[in-house]
Amino acid sequence: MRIVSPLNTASEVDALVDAGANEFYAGLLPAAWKERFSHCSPINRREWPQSNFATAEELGKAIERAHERGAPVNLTMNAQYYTQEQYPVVLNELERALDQGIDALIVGDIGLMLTLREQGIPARLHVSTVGTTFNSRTARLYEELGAARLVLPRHFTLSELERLRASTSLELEMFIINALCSFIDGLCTFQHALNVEGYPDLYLGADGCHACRLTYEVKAHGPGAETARKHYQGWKSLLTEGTCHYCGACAIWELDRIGMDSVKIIGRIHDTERKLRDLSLIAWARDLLSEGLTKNDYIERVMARYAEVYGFPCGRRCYYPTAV
Amino acid sequence: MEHALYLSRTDHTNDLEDKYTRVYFGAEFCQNLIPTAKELGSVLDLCEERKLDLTLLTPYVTDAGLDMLEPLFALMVARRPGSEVVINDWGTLRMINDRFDALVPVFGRLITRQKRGPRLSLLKGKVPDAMVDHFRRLGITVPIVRRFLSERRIGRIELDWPLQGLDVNLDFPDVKLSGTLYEPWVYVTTTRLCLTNACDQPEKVDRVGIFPCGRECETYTFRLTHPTVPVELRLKGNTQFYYNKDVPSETELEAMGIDRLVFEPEVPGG
Repeated sequence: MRIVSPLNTASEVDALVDAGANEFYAGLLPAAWKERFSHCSPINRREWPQSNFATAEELGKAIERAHERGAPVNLTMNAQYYTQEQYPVVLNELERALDQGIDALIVGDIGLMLTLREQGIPARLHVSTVGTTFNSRTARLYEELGAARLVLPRHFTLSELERLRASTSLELEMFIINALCSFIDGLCTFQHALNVEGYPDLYLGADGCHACRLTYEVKAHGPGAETARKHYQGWKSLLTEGTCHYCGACAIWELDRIGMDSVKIIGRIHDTERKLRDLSLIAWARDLLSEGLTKNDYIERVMARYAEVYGFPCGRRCYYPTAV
Repeated sequence: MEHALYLSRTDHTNDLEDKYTRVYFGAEFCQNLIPTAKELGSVLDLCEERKLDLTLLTPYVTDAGLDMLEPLFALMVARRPGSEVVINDWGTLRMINDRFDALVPVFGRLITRQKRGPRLSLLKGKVPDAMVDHFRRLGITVPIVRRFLSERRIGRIELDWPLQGLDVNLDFPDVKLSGTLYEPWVYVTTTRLCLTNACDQPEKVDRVGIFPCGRECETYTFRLTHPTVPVELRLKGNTQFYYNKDVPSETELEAMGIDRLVFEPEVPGG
């Protein structure tokens, strides 16, 4: 099972490979895009400048070093959609990234997938989680469009995964830690990043960045409404508050059994130290598979490792609760 | 302008006024709520009795969800060939085109990926026009996508009128597309980690995941407000909406290629 890590700078490549990353994904937020569409209009679902490389050349340096270490680098171009006037900028930036040696493109918009195919752009296609591949027929559609890998939505049970795995030979990738979206990425119409650098009029408060994470005032309607309201607020706070990261490390045992090809660490916005910490759990858990432990023993060891790495217990905030 | 009624439940037929010539029925947001063949049969009976056309709503689905849809499609082919099916999943579209060519697929309002977050209405005048425009336009109308959809027999797309408005004209030279507008409830977001699941059982508050459904959405709705969000959000089941009655006139909509209005008498979903 391969571990796919976020990458922000060339200088962190060696440390991340040494910590167990097999593959990288990265974003590019070029000046041409920022000038015309601003950076809070999405080019790759991570609108913040610090989550992205600023130039193809900087990205190229990181790719060069990653390739020297045997790690492919995949470029996220996974907006939910691009409009006609955005295509020239997107395609120009794609061309520049491919010139730098990008190994695959992570794409969510079917229009861009069709364009890649029509123009014969020589890129390995990974369908983003934005592509909402929930079933085998969708997988077959993407296979026809040239996909080599499907990055699946976060919201799957293990039995659903097993059935999908049995139906396709495409590579399958799952998210494994951080940022468990409350909502389905490819179908959510909220917009992140409205705390816009350079647009102070849009400053929406310290927690105003993600509409999905706001502390809403909640009113419930129905019998037992007050119970329901408290439940909702408690539930919501599980996703948005506290120090525990949603994590699927324990599920690696099951994901490996099912035949998942790779797991992805979320966190393009994180610094190198945090990425290394996440790898020290996830790569360790992947390597622990070689010991042939029972599932329960494996889970126990991984939960203990989590507490060691982060300094607090995992609190059973699970990406894949049906795996544990 | 064609007028259709969004029928959330089979017994909610009191809103069926004479102006409606079509019924929308089914589940757009949750595969747990896909109707049974018996429920669909009763709506087919209603449509025959009242001489109404039928559009079946379908959600995003796992393979198990596709299994649930298949007998419904077969029933529609048997009783009302030529009926529409709103798809919100590429796999469902593929199944219809592979196996049910007597049904007419319609491109649903989730899979259009139309932007609707209510805070997008705050951007105008504060950011570059090109950015505002992006959030008012659709990716599915770029030429290569509309040709792709047309090849898969899609001739109609389903839309909401979000607070930031919509910049669309479906009168394309190469492909015939028509639009449907749902009003007044605008879809915002959806999840399989249902926030309404077990909401009346406080001991289950620490569960986050996909769990057996108790259909709590039929009992509870939630109103969400926040100072930075310009409208109240309404949560029904696994899906959020907001209310927007401020839509263009029928004449203006028809000029954009929107020739059908679907009235939602209550918050859809659930």
